[in-house]
Amino acid sequence: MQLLNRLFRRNQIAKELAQELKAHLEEKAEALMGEGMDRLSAERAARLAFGNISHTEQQSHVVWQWPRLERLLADVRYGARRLTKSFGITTVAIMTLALGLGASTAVFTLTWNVVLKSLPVPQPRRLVEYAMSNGVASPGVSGPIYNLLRERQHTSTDLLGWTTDKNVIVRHGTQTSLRTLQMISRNGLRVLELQPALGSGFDGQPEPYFPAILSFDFWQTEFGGSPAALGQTLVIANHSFTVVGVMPRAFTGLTANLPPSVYVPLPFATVLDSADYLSMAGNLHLSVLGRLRPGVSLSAARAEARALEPALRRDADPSGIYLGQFFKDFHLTVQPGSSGNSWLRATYEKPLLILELLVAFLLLLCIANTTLVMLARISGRQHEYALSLALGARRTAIFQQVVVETSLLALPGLVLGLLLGWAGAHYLVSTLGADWAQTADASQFAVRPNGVIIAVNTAVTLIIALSTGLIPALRAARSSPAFDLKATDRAIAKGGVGPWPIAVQVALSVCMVSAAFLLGDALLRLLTEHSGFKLQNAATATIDLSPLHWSGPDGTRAFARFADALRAQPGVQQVGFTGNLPLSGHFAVSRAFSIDQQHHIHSEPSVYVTTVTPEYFAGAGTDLISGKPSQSSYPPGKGAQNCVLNKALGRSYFPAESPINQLIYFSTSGKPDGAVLDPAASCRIVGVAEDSRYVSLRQPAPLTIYQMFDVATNSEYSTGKYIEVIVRAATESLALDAIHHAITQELPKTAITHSDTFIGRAAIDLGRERMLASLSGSFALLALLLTGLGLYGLLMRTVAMRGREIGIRLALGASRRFILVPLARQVFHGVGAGLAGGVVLAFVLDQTISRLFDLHASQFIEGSVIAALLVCAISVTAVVPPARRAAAVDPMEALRAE
Amino acid sequence: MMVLESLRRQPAHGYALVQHIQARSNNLLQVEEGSLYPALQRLLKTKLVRAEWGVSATSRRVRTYTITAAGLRELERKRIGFRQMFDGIALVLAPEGAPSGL
Repeated sequence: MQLLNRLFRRNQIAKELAQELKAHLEEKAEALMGEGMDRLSAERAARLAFGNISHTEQQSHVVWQWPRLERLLADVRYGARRLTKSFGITTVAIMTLALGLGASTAVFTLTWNVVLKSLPVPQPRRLVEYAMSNGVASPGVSGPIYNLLRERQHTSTDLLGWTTDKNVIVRHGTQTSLRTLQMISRNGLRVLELQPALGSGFDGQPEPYFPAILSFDFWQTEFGGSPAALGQTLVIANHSFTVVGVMPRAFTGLTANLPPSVYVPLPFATVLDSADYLSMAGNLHLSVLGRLRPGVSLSAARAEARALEPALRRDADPSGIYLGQFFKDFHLTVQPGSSGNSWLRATYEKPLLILELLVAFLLLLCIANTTLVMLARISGRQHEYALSLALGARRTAIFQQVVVETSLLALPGLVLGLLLGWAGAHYLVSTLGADWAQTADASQFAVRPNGVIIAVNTAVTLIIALSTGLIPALRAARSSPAFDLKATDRAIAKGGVGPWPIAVQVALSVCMVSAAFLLGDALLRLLTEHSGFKLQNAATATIDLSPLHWSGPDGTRAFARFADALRAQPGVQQVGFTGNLPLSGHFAVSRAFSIDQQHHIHSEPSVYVTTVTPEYFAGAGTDLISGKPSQSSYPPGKGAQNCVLNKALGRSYFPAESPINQLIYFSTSGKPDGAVLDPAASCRIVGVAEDSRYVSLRQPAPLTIYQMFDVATNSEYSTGKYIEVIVRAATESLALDAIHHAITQELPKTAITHSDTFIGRAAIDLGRERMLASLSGSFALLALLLTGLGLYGLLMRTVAMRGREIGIRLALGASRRFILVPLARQVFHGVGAGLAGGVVLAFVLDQTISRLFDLHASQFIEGSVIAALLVCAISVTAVVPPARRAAAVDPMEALRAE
Repeated sequence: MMVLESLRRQPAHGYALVQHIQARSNNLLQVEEGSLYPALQRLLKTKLVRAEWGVSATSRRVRTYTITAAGLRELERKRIGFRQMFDGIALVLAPEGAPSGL
């Protein structure tokens, strides 16, 4: 109650005290009047006897106050008044912090959601991920490795496996929709220690039985959140599944940021993909998570994996073709698995790290800029601080006041920064989301604010407020009353701003511009270097044929009709079909060899293999150097297939002769190359194509075999899975329209999994480079703007403060054109120091980025020169208005002004 | 301590307290009137006294202070402490050979 009194009855207490004192004085005066004094004298004597009434009131009030809190509140009120007096500068300072914090929030929100966020399972830090890795790629493990590892390891309670999510057509009753499916081993929920929100997991479900678990969101939207969902049937790829459970609300799959709608047992991958999906030793498509036993460390799991690996490789692949040859550089690794598996993380982890580095630089620049603003403000108030100190104020009180005033800038900057940051994060995600062909619904990638992001940004803001306010506060508290009170010109009071804040800003700007140049140059090189494709005027599509149930000759004829319908669309020039679209990031490898005319055997252990129709090359814009695949027909029945090699592979197999009409052979399991020449495992070279960056534009062109097939005579899609097509037309929109019209005309029941222009595919492929280039460019522009604003603000304030000095100089005959030279000299000293330091720092930053991103930083000198020129241009631009203002000073006005 | 002792004898308002202390000390103690009220606020805050508005004998609206049970205990404690201090000072100041204790 007393606390409430102190908080809410302070005015009442003050009023009562005033009444009490008044009554005391009146009573005293009456007593004196009773002794014979007149009223006036009695009242005066009463007041004299009482003493200082105001002092008494103040001392009485202090009893009920919290002195430290009162002082803090007073500092807040004072700081707010000072800041609102110079509204323009305050707004600029707040916006500076808001933009810096906004960039930090946006990038950290992405980093949190993509890289750092743990799976919503109990003790996620006890999860570990197993994968075969060569240090660059970590594709996963094969089915045989998973089974053997599960039997032989002892550091985890169990291992769960899951494979790449698939987009499939799901039918429930009369509803059909395209959904993301996750195939997970039956022990999945047990290893994750998850309890279903409804029903059960896969454990204990009898075989053969097709149980399905729904995601919480799918259950809510499709089944109304009803318990009656249990036991209902879903049809996926012509198989009926029975719903046995619902995942917990917070769990959104093991592949982070791509929440599936339905979970089915892992063996279903042999239906959706290929029968040997889980048994083929070279199919490293399984992701594996284990839960460490209590007391077991990650290093123990790693040691165990190293010890088990040799036997695993031998027993999982007795032929030695895959693990002994193709993947001989891949080793079993164990990594922390708290975040699950995420291709997003694998793709964007390093770019986000680079962005965090750039954001740190940007925040440093914001700190330097705000410190400059505060130093400029403090330097103009030295007289005031000197007077306060002379009147008895403590230096700590002045220190506190300045820190509080700086914090008042930081707080609205934080709030605005958080809002800007979330808007920025949503924009980034929507940009990234459009790139994800794998997601059925990009809006499922939910970027939500949470306590961690708010806490991190609040901590960053506190650090900024403290570091920004520290130097100005120390400067203010060190004020010397004896000197500063005598100084009549505020500008020559002790402690000017100095050149170092300018130098810091310039150095950071040079770094950021140089980094932006490096990353922009990297993107430009990837876009302009010859890729082996002509990206313009072409479109691609992946079409799911499973609803059509194609088979045999009927399926082939239907496929041929579709191909003809596509070719007949207006504007279409070429239509090419392929088993694996270029720039998809997916690839199949095989081992093959050749025997040249000198009977030398040339082996290549890791050749990329894809199937294409003859028109593919024209469709993709890949030039054929020699041979004419279109004139070669696929021989029916058994025998050598026709194939085209890329130029590098042709040279490798037949270094001294033309490869055309030569044979190459796929290696036989367990036999050395050359021992078995099986025509059924061979192909006849009918053409040589130029090298093309088939897998990704950022990777060099792989050694590639294009196995030919002809739609009219043989369609490997007659079993009804997917068609992947590339269409070249007069324009991109015509190509896309042609695809959609042909599908509507010939394949009405099917659904397009993904369609895009060829340039769009390239943009997806280079998504992270584009993100880095655009964001680093934005940060660089912001850095230049902040540097320019900082310089401009500093000089304008200096001109305002040193008006009297300028007036005296002009009155004494100084030239108006060069009046600002002495001051500008100081500024350019800072710029010069900043440029020198910035170039060194930019070199270090560029090297760091190049190493992280595997870039070749050959353009450092050009980048630094451009950065230096831009910063100089900004500096000159910022100096001009203050110089003009100084030149326009009227000496008479300046001398009269105080 | 003197304020608490005065209030122990009878509740009083500020001016009356000043008069009481001066009268009881035969005007040897002159209370600085301005310092009385901060002291009363401290006593109020620590709940050694309580206060309520009323009307004085001279029909004036005054705030009368009354000692509380906690105030009585505090008064006794201070009295014992003061007594000990007084005895100690007297012993130090007593001439040599004078009987110890008073």
